[in-house]
Amino acid sequence: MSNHVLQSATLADSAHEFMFKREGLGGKSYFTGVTDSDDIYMWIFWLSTVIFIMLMGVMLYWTFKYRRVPGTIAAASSSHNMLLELAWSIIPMGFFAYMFFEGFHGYIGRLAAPPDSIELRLTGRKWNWSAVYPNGAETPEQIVVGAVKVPVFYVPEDRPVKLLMISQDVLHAFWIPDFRTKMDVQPNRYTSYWFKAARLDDGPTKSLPDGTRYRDHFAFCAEYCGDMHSEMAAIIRVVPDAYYGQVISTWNDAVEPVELGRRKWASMCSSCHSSDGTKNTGPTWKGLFGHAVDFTDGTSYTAEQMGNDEFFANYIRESILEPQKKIVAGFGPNMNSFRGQITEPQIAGITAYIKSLK
Amino acid sequence: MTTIPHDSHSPHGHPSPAPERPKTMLWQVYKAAHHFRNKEEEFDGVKLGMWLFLATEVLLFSGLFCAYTIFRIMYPQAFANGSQYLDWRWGGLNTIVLLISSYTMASGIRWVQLQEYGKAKFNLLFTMFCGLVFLIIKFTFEYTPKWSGYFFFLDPALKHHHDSGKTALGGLFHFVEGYGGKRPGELFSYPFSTDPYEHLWWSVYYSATGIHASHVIIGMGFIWWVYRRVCKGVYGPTHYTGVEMSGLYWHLVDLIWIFLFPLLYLIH
Amino acid sequence: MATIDDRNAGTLGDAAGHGGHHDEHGSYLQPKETLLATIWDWATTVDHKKIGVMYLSAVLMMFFFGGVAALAVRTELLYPVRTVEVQGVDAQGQPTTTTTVTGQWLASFLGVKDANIAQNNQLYNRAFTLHGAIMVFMVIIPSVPAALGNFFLPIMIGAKDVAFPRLNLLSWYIYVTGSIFGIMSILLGGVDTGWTFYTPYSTTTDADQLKVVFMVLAAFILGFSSILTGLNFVVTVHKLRAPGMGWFDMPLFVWALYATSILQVLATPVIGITLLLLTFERIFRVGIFDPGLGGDPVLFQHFFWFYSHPVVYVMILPGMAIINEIIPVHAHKKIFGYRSMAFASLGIAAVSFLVWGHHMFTAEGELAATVFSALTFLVAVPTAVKMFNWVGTLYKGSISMTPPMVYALMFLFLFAIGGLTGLPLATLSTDMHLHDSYFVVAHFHYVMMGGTIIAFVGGLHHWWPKLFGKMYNQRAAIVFALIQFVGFNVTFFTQFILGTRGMPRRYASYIDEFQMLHQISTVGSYMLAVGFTGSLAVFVHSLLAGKKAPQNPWGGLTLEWHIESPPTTHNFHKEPIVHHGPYDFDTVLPPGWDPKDYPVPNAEAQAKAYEQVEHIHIGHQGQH
Ligand code: HEA
Ligand code: HEA
Ligand code: HEC
Ligand code: CUA
Ligand SMILES: [Cu+2]
Repeated sequence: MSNHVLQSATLADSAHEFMFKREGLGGKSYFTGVTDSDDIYMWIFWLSTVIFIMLMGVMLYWTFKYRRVPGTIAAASSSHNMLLELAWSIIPMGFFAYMFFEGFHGYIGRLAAPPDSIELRLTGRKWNWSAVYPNGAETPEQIVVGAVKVPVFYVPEDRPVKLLMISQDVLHAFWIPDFRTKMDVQPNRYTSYWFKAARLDDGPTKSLPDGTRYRDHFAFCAEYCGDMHSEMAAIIRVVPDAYYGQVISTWNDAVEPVELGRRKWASMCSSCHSSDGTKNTGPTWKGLFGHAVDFTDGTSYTAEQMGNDEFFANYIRESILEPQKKIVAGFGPNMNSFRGQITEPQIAGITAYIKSLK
Repeated sequence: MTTIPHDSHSPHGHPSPAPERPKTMLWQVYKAAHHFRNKEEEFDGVKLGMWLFLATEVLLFSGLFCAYTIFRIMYPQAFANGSQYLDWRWGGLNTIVLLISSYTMASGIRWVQLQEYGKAKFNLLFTMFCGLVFLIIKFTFEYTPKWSGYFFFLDPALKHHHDSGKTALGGLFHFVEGYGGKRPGELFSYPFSTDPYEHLWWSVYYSATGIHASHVIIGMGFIWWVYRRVCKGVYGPTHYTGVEMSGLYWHLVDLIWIFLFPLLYLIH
Repeated sequence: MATIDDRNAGTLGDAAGHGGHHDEHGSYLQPKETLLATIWDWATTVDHKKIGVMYLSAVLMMFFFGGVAALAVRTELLYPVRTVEVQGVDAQGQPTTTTTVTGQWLASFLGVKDANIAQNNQLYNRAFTLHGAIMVFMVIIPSVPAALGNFFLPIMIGAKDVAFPRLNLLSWYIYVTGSIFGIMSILLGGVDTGWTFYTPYSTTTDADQLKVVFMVLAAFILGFSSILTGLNFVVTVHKLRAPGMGWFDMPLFVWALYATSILQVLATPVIGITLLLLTFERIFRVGIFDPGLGGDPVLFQHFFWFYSHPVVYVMILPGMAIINEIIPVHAHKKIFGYRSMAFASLGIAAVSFLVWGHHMFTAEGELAATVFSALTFLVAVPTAVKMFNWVGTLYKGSISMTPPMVYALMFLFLFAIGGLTGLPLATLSTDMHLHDSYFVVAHFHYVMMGGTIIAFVGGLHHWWPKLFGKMYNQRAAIVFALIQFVGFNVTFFTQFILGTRGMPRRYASYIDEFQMLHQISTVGSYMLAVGFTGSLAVFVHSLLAGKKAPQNPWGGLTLEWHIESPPTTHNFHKEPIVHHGPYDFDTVLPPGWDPKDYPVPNAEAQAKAYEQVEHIHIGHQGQH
């Protein structure tokens, strides 16, 4: 039941209420634990506005009032004033100290996850995200954003969720603007933060075809990672707790190899390999089975070889685990090994899926 | 030849067509550049500039020292393993060579100030020679063997690391099967390494000593330049800015080695 | 209170034994007999003024290239990339749907056929990297110090030249070499690492090519140029001040450049070693920053920001230096809080070494983040002091609304916004949201573009008459300044809103809801282009048809206003002796000014100042 792919997320799907709207338009953060970060932001915002207006007001007023009249010179006035100068060095310090402490508070609050958090293991790679749920399931769902499909991660409302993140290649960062939080995703250490999505009753929601209410939040990659950095997004979909439990358990059900392969492709390969013949960072998979390939080293595999089930399966397996061995002509060595990221049944599934793309 | 005709533009060796003038040393007629008030001020200025420049050099190396410290903390075992393969004797010898060269450099300056040009030139040449010796030791006895997989040991205590290797020349050369080299980073190809991160030690080692070696070469270039100018009689008791500055540079190069030596060779 | 006095005539090294006597007293701009000789003369000059002018032209050219890259970036961002389904009917009359990808301006502009999203993005990524790298390494760092500073710092302290003129020429050639390396990397196809060169991306992208190495070496070489300029200035300020000029008699321009120079000397070597290691990393794969080999990419970030944070103050301090001059001169009033200004410059320089970690709040550990956040606020204190002092200077001034003054006011406005928006970035919890978003982009354009570049262009207007001896059309200059002001805010204020709403930086594409704001921003950038092209036209017009500039058009008191416009080759005819502070506008008649226009209250001081200036004038004519 949960295999629907929704088309084109737009503003209407994502309940965006951003900081700037907060005071003016009454919006709010959807991370319930973290309104303090909005508070300190707005505090700085208003303080700065007041200081700025005062400073500019005085500046403009004086430039006008004391404009030059030829034949006169400026009246002598003091060129320094100890008290004043001390005041405007020390008073800002007080403000700054307050900002620091509040900011520290909010920051630490987001790092230390409550012990009962649901742990989502998130992997970033060029250029997509995948998440493994506590029961081992992965999401098969995708949604079109702009020109690419991005995965949809389901999370329950009003329960702490902890993201444990690692990168497979370069640096990425996982930013959920509605939750006001991001953290870099690094290749050599786990990083994490947590959030608690606001209850669905606390804001606008939409409904799935079966009537379940949900709310979508965008997540973006916020650390530059190459060509498709701007396409490396995900959707965090907040659903009722019971629905969440149900949906992740259905993802775990056994599926046909072709479907398994399609899911893997959707979550891990689709950013570089198309299924419809378009050329992308990597070669398309459409019609790969039974067609000759040329490699940059001058060798090639014939159509007969590529049409042989066993030969083809081995070629795909090698391409996944040791992609640098043979580089398809016309492409760069841009694919990283997926060793350790992918199981044998999944490789078999992918092979089956590629074969199905005639 | 320590004096030259006043007309310094006449090419060397060709007798100047201009009528003979009384010979003066260049340093005697040296005048500060036009925007300085006098020679002393110019000297102070140049010296201040040189110290600032030395500060930048120290900061350049401090980046390497930082990397060294961080990786040593991250991978103590890798560093312990790697540093085993550096022979403190070669390092120590090089330290001595550089110390001597610093001494001769300092005497060179002194002799210039005393107008003892022969001694001065000998000392400068000797300093450059020491630099050369340093580089030769570095390249032939340290870099090349390690890079290409044979080890040249003076210290018999280190031999046991190479029981797997063949030996030659009465045990002085130890070849490692497969000629795996102790190279930095990805080039590391020594097959018997016991720590997966040993290549990082070599990365730090080659970067630090390589950049240091390039400084030795630059320093020798400076000394060559002042040597030529000493020959022309540019420097003397009242004007010796160039010698002094290249001396400072040389001492810095020496000093950096004094820090590198214990960090790389002595601490295990 | 005399300014210049001929008591020590002849103490400067050369006066007697130098040949080309008439050269020395002609304008430094005087061409040689033939064009070739003139070019050779400029190419081999050790005159700080000519070197300054050469830097100026190079920097403006690079600014133009950087600006063009910025316009490319902005134009691409007019439309997000998206798939569009087009309904139609085929030959048989059957309904069809074809999907096409739209919004890829760069690829079609550059004539790349059938570009897919990845290819278009690649072009975009190159464009912003190029823009950032050019603007930072080739424009803003050398802009004020190497161009205007080179020209005016020695004059302002009464020196004939910088301490090491040949080194000065060398650093210009190093700058050119560095730029050539940069251009080479562009010709090879350009790099897409971002100006920050973060590893492991920078060590793995385009792995088989050398262009990243070229770009990295370009930054490395430009760093040397910057070190040598800084070193030269420090020694110049220490050793070549004219008699009578104590540390606290120096113009604040000199103070701020002095602080900048110290930063340049002390911070740049660290980027030097970092970039060197990055090059090793690419060529030999040494693994120090490569997680695959056990290295640490965050270490690179620490190294990089250890330099690049101080360097943002290398960028802003010279901008502030210019404002320090413009405001008192055009308000004809002593600067408020001279000493606190001088110490604030040094304070900023000192503290700026301790805050680099604030660029990595989302990458480093908690402890480091906390410490760096706290330290970051410290930098804001001396900056605040400067802001208040500038505004304080206006109080009871006698303010002329000249183009430089307009730029100075623009600076105060824009820099205040830029600085104040640094505060939520320095606050840990809000930076977790704002980091790497357009909020950061807006912040640094407000400080770099709105701060330094605006100050630089203001300084150019301030000193233009002195640089080239020509006046320009002031009214037109003000009009274009205002166009720049409006265009700037339209471009970048929208980006604050984009950032808080969730728009990440370095994005070639974005979700639809950001489109409106992006389009406004793009329109603003075109206004900026119009504004700057206008300023350029004003200057070109001035060079071709400008009126001859008087010695002291604005009424400044610092030493450059005591000499001809444009200056002679040796700046001063005799060594100047400084008797008054640089901002004693209430007691000293500006050189070249008529006491009827500027009635100094203290009659004695007025007479004396006048007499001395007269004296210099006579002396000058007497020698011809
Ligand atoms: C000219 C350059 C310049 C200057 C002067 C500054 C000034 C400051 N910057 Fe900025 N900064 C950059 C250039 C600059 N910055 C660049 C280029 C980047 C991004 C690099 C990249 O990632 O590509 C950056 C990024 C950056 C970050 C990292 C953001 C991120 O990536 O997450 C941070 C975080 O702390 C920061 C903070 C500050 C602060 C606190 C100041 C302070 O110095 C500001 C002090 C000024 C004021 C505070 C305003 C004036 C004062 C008053 C009006 C008085 C009254 C005020 C009060 C009482 C509140 N900056
Ligand atoms: C000095 C620094 C500087 C300056 C001045 C500018 C100027 C501009 N910048 Fe830039 N910018 C950076 C430094 C600077 N930038 C940096 C460091 C980055 C980060 C890069 C990275 O992420 O790696 C960046 C990134 C950046 C981005 C974000 C890209 C992204 O993250 O995806 C954008 C987007 O709008 C942008 C736009 C602009 C625009 C429209 C201008 C305009 O103001 C430009 C206007 C100028 C012109 C149009 C040229 C006209 C000039 C003449 C005609 C010559 C005449 C001259 C005179 C006589 C005065 N810049
Ligand atoms: C970073 C982009 C990227 C991702 C993500 C990616 N690939 Fe690739 N892939 C490439 C590129 C580039 C090539 C062509 C160069 C090569 O042969 O290595 C390629 C080649 C291949 C080939 C050989 C194709 C042919 O035409 O012969 C196979 C099979 C393959 N990839 C499978 C996968 C699978 C399975 C996944 C996901 C689990 C995946 N790829 C994810 C970039 C990627
Ligand atoms: Cu992943 Cu940017
Ligand atoms: Cu900073």
